[in-house]
Amino acid sequence: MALKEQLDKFNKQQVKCQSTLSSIASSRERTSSSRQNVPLPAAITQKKPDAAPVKFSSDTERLQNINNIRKAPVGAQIKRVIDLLYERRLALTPEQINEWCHVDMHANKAVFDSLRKNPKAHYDGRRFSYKATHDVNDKNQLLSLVRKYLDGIAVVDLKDAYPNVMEDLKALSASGDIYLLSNSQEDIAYPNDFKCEIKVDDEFKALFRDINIPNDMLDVEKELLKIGLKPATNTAERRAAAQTHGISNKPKDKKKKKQEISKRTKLTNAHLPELFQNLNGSSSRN
Amino acid sequence: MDKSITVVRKTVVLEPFVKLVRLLVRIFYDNYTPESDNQQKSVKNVKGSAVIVLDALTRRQWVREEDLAKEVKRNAKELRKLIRHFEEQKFVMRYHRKETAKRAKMYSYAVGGTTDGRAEDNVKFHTHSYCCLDYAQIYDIVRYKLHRLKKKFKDELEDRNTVQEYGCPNCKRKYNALDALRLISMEDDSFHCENCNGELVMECNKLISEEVVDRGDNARRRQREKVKVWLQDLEGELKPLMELINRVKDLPFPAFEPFPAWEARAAKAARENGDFNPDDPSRSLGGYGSTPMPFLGETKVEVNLGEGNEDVTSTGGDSSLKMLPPWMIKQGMKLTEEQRGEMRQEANVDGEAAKLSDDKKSVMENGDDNKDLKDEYLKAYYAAIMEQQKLAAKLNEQESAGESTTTDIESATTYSDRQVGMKSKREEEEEDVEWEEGASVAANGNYKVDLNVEAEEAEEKEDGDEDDDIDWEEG
Repeated sequence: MALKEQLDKFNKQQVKCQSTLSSIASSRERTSSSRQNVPLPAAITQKKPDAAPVKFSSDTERLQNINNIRKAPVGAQIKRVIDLLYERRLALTPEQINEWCHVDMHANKAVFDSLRKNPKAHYDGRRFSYKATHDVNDKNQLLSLVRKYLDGIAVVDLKDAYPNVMEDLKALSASGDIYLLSNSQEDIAYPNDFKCEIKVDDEFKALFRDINIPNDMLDVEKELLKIGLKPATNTAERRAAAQTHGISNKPKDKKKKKQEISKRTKLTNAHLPELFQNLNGSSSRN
Repeated sequence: MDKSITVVRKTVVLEPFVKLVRLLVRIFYDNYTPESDNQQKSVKNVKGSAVIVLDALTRRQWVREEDLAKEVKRNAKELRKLIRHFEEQKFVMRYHRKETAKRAKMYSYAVGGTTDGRAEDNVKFHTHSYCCLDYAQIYDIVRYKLHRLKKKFKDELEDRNTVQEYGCPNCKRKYNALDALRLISMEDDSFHCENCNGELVMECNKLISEEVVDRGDNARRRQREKVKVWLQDLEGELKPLMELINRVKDLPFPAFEPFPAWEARAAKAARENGDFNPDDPSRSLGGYGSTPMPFLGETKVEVNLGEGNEDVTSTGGDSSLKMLPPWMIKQGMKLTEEQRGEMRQEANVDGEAAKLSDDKKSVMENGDDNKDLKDEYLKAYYAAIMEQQKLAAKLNEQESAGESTTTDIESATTYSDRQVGMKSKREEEEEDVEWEEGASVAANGNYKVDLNVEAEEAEEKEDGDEDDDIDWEEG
């Protein structure tokens, strides 16, 4: 009696497995299974059929998942493998990859070849490992990497280096080693390769910034001469050189001239000569 | 060999100025944010952008603002605001110019360069801004500001009252000594209020803000202590900055070179590197006109070398041009006033045209540059003056050639004036200026000159109002 019960149980399991795996023979198997189902309830007690369907359904679901994964397109399988490598951060053999995410690379050669050439995966002949955009593993390496990019590096390119990248970036920004600024679209990390130890009050800085400067650089030079310092700029020489080369060195004068009277303006009121004093002045400038 | 040695020297010399700029911007501008109209958008972390922009400028020379924004990964508008602020502070020099976006064609590039400063209705041209750090001006401005700051603190501490202030106890109005004429009273010797005719009381501590005055003596003392701390900071904390300023004082300054000269020099240096044959004018022009931007980075150091030499030479030339020699005055006497003004403008225009489009003139200029380089090592100051006079003579020849063209343009102008009928004389003069520029652009003969004249007439008639609008927008 015990042997018969075990034999019946085994037959049920085998029938359902075969039906899920092969679609062609499913109709024939179901016909034979329906015939065998008739004498079964007479032989087995009520408790056993409750346990058996639970196991079958869970196995069926798992096997269906595996089947869906293995029948998916190559790109989806590659993405699955790369996501696994990203999370685990380990070098995995194809067998281990099959265990973790059910992608059988030995059976599917296209997945294997594409994954070997993928820029995000590194294959050393036996194992696959994740290849980040930048090979950085800790805070010090991150800092040295940012220092190589004087004009800034996008944070998006750093996020996949290692799991705690963002925390390290914020720590470096707080300590002043890098500047973490936000563009209108993304965050960018800039190196601060020139640290200054001078700490000044914010109001002091504002005072320095708000000091007015005369419009003409010549006035600044005169003021410096009064103090007793020698000015480094020689504006008069520059303007003379500009005139020689025909370069206009006063953009503000241009704007004024355009705003007042343009060349195409029709001049009326000839009987009021004081209106044309500006015109005479501007023409003399030319 | 000599050039390489001097290049090394120039490279070494530039280092302290870069250091000065970096230190300065980190002390005073590390928390600076340009004022923005949209307060919501400025919530994002933008502090430190001034530091980043100026650091990027220390690594470059003349650079277009759009290109700089791309490289530094900053918003173009934000970057322009920052650079505009620093231009007002005279840290940065800017140069605005109209040019095509692609610079595909040499001719369009030449036209764009020649029509610099004029409002053109051509859709292809856009105004681009180039910017560059001016180390000499930065140095002067920093010393000026520090001096003003120190003076301000000392005046506040010493409690100097240049202008005495008076307050009315009744209606609490405030006057100063400059209003004394209105405050004099005939009844007694003191000042009286205009409003209620009450007697005025003198006030002290003019510089302290109103809030402090209202609070009382304790607030005043706190303010004084604060100012003392600031003065100590100015003398103690900023000592490294002061030492750097004093160290920089004895070094020769990197000379500032205007953008067009720098661009021409960069193109020339690119040619000398062997990329193009210098003897072939068409190839050199092609390289100059079609791809000037890729060479900008390569020629940084060499341009510095050229700057020093070039400015020395140009200094001599400028002084010689300022004082007109007697033979030039004699020629000037013969000409009328209108022709004098026209001649000057012609000289400028001819110079630009030669730089941009004319093959022969560019070759001549290359020769002149070589001569200038040689003169610095072989000849003295006065020899340079002699050469400048020769160049002036050549310019006179060109101007005399231009006079005949001017005569034709004048006759055409007179004819067009009769058609319009209502234009005044001053407008006529300006029109003459425009037509001369057009003639210099053509440079092939009378035929193209006439075409340009007609084209300009058509433009004036059709786009009179729109041109004014365009001017405003550019402003």
